[in-house]
Amino acid sequence: MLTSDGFIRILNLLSVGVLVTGMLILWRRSLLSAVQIFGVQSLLLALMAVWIAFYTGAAHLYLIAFLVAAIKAVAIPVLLSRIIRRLDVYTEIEPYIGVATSLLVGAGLVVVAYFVMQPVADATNLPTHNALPLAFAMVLLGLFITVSRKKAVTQILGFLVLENGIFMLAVLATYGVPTIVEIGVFLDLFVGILIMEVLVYRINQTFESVDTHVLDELRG
Amino acid sequence: MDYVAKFLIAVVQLLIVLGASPVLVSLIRRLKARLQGRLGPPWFQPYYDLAKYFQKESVVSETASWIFNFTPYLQFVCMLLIALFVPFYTAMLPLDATGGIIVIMYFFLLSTFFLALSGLDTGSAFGGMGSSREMTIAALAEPTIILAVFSISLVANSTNISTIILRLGSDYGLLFNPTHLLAFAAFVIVTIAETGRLPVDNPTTHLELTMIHEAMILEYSGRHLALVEWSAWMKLFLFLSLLTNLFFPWGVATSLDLLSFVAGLVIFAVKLTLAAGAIAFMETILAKVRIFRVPELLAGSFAIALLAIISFYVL
Repeated sequence: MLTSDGFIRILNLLSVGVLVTGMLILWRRSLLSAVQIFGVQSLLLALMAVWIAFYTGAAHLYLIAFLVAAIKAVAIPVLLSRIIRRLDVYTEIEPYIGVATSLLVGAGLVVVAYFVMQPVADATNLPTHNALPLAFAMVLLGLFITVSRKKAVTQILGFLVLENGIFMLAVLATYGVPTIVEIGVFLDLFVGILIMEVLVYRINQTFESVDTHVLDELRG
Repeated sequence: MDYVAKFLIAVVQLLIVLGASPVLVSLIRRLKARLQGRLGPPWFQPYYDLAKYFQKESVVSETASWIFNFTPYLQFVCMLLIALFVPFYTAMLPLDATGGIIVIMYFFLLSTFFLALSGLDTGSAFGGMGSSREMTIAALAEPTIILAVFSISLVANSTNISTIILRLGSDYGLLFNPTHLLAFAAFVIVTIAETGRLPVDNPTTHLELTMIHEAMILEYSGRHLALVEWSAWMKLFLFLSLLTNLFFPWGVATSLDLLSFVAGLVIFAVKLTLAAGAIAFMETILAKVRIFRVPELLAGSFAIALLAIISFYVL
């Protein structure tokens, strides 16, 4: 049996890895590589779920980890890359908030998450409780990506990062919600992405651009 | 440790940094040339260059002040002093009791500061441009350096280099904690920015629009140029030694016997060769980024260094 110290060490490495991929999405202007980084992030989350399942013996987490890997690390990145190629929009040229500033804001959000989640982390005595602030930081990062970027594809990506953060929070705080709920969430997510894909095509057809700020303008 | 041993180690350290830094530069150039399908310059080209510069007359502009003449010597002495603080093959450092990692970083910055001043000193347009760019990069890199240094110090519980190496070398578990790995990533980016390698600065360029370091030293000639170039090579050597030995302290001798010194030297040479290979590889696949994109790169390394510190307290 693994010692709890070794378990926590690897878990912490994985959770920091997930957070760093969140930062990398903020860093990269290239949409394709941001999508790939999202795939890596989901893969790390799946590994984390497997690791927790292995340690705690919560067998349903294996199934969930498989679903995360299949849907978020493979299917959704493939879908998003297809959108990017079809629309021929490859870079986030001018985000609302510059890349350098948004990286600093991102680091600041991690500090905020630390102070907000510290009481929660202290309230539980699970071995995973230390990584809780990082999961919450992912939620904030996802939200920030969504509001600070112009391209519809990047905004979808921000939403997905937010969803990853919620999933990470659930896995760390309660070793995952019941399987049926989790499967429901994945189904919703997948269908949601499909609908968003159609929506992005429509935006592109109507405005000949996927910059969402053109939606603010009135057209007569 | 007795006085004589410390003195001998100090002499060896100085000889290594003086003699091996041109070889390291030569190694990077040759590896890079090979990766790009060229033959590359001869192994001892940096030495030939130095020998030639030292024989030439040094031309100094009439408008230059004492700073221009003083800077090459100051830089050279700074690098030699730093060499007494930086671990190469042993953790028994000559000036260990005098200062730690923070002193090293500020010696580097002192030499950068004076080089920037001397770039401005002659009043040439390119010198001023180089200085302003160099100071932009240095100002953005400094917070990252300090944060990265503090995160290593937090992990090892000391800012003294010998203590850090002994502590990290005795417990390899410490090397795989998130704080240490993130600090490493941040330090790599800062090393690239500070030593003027791609993608921040191109060390081989003489195209006016892209020069940073080359623009500052454009007015130097003769023995001054030799000292400035040599200092730049030593800076690269010292940064890479710090990077490899602080983050991978395997094989650094922690006792005073000849066998561990020899083993330390061999492992040190291997580490530097690997680092040189990594630099050559990166410089082959990466293009220089636009100067206005450099702040993004350095903001990224700052964010990573901040994460390193946060993860120390969170986890």
